[in-house]
Amino acid sequence: MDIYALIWKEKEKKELGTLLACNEKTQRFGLCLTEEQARELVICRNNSLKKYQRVEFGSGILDKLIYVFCDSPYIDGGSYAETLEKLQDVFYAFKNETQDKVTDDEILNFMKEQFDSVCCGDIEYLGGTCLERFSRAVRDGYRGYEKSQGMGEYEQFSEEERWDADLYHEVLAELFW
Amino acid sequence: MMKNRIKVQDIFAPEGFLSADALLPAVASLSDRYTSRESSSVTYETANMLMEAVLYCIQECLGESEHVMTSDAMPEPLVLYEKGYEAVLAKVKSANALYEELIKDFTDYGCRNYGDTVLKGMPAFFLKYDARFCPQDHIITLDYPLLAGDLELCGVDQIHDYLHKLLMEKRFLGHFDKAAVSGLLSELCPEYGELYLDNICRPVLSRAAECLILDKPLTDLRLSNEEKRELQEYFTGMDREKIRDQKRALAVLLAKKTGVEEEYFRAAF
Repeated sequence: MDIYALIWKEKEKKELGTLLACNEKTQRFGLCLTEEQARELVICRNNSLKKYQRVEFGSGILDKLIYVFCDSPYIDGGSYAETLEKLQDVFYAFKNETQDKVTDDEILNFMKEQFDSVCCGDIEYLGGTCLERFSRAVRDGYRGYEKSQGMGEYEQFSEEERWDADLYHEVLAELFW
Repeated sequence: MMKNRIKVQDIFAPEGFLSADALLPAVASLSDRYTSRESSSVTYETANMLMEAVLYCIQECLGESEHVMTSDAMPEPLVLYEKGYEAVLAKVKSANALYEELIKDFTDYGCRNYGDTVLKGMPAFFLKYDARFCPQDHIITLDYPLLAGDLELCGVDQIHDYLHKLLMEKRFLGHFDKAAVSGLLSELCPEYGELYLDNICRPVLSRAAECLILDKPLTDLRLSNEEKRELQEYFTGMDREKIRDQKRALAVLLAKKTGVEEEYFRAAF
C-alpha cells in the first residue's frame, strides 16, 4: 500500500478549487493564478513534498502561503506563480531544517518579514542565509520564536551590519563634513 | 494466554474488512492531534509512525472484540482506532499490575542482565510508552531472554506477554532455594553475575528434570559426579529427539507441580 499516492490523489481533487478561490482576495494586489498555473503549483508542491520526504494530510500550505505573501511589494503579477513555487520549496526545506520544531505560522511570519526587509524579495538569500541561520539556532535549542510567533527574530542572528539611523548619520558625516 | 493477533492483511480489502484509503481520515486526524494543528505537513517517518499507530490500535480493537465483525457492521476506522486506544491503555494498566507483582520480593540471583532488565529497563517503558501516537513501539530492548518469548509481538502486547511469562518463571524459580539457583548458575558460568546473558529458568528446569529422573529432592539442584555418570548412562542409547521428549514430559510435570502454564514449559523444549 502506497499511503503517499493515496493522499496525493485525494488532495488533488480539492486543491485546484481552493487555489483559484484565492484569486478573489489577491487580485486587488494585481496577483492572479490561471488554472494552468495553479495546476503547475500543485505539481511543484508535490515534488517538493517528495524531495523533502514530507506528507500533507489536510488542506496544505499553499493557500496560507498565498494569503501571507500577496501584499508583498516584491511580488508582481508576472513573477507571482514562479515566486510561490520557490517559496513553498523553501518552506518545506525549512520545516525539515528546524526538525519540525517551528509551526507553520511561525515559519511563514519569519519568511514574510525577511522577504520584505533584509532579502528585498531575494528568495536565494531568504533560504540560503536567513533561514539557514535561524534553523541552525533552532537546532541548537533556541525557542524565542514561540513567544514572538517568528516576528522580529532575525536581527539577533544577522551577521551583517545594516543601515540604521546611527550608521546613516555616521556615513553622511564622513561624506560631507 | 494472549489472544491471537489479527494480522494487517486480515484488515484490508478485498479479503479483509477495510480498504487502505479508508484509514486515511484516521491517520489525518491523528496527525492533526500530533502537531496540535500547527503543522500542515509531517515527515514520512512521522506519517509511517502514525499509520502504524492506527493499524496497531485497530488490531488491538478487533483482537479484543468478542464478536466477529463483518464489513457491513464495521465501524469507521477512527472509531475502531479510539476503541483500540482504550484497549491499549487497559493493557498498559494490566501490564503495570503484572510488573508490581513481579518486583514484589524480586531477586535477580546475582545475575545482572536479569536484574537490570526488570529493575532498570522496565520502568522506562511505563514512563515513556506513547499509547496515542506510537503504541507499536515498546521502547526498551528486553535484554533478558525468556524461556519461550514471542518475538513477533510489539508495543504493549510484547511487554504484557513478556511480564506475564516472566512472572510465571519467577513463580517457578521461587520453588527453589535461592542459593541452589545461584549455585547452579555458578556451576555453569563462574562469573555468571556479569557474564551470564541467557535465561535462568532453562538450566533450573533442565536440572530439576534430571533430579526427577534420579529421584532426588527437587529443591537440591546439585549433582555429584556419580549422579552425573548415572544420568549419562540413563540417556545412553537415546537420540536427541527422545531426550527432548523426555525432558518435555518432565517439564510439563514440573509445570503442574509448580502452578506454571503447561504449554509454556512445553514450548521451551
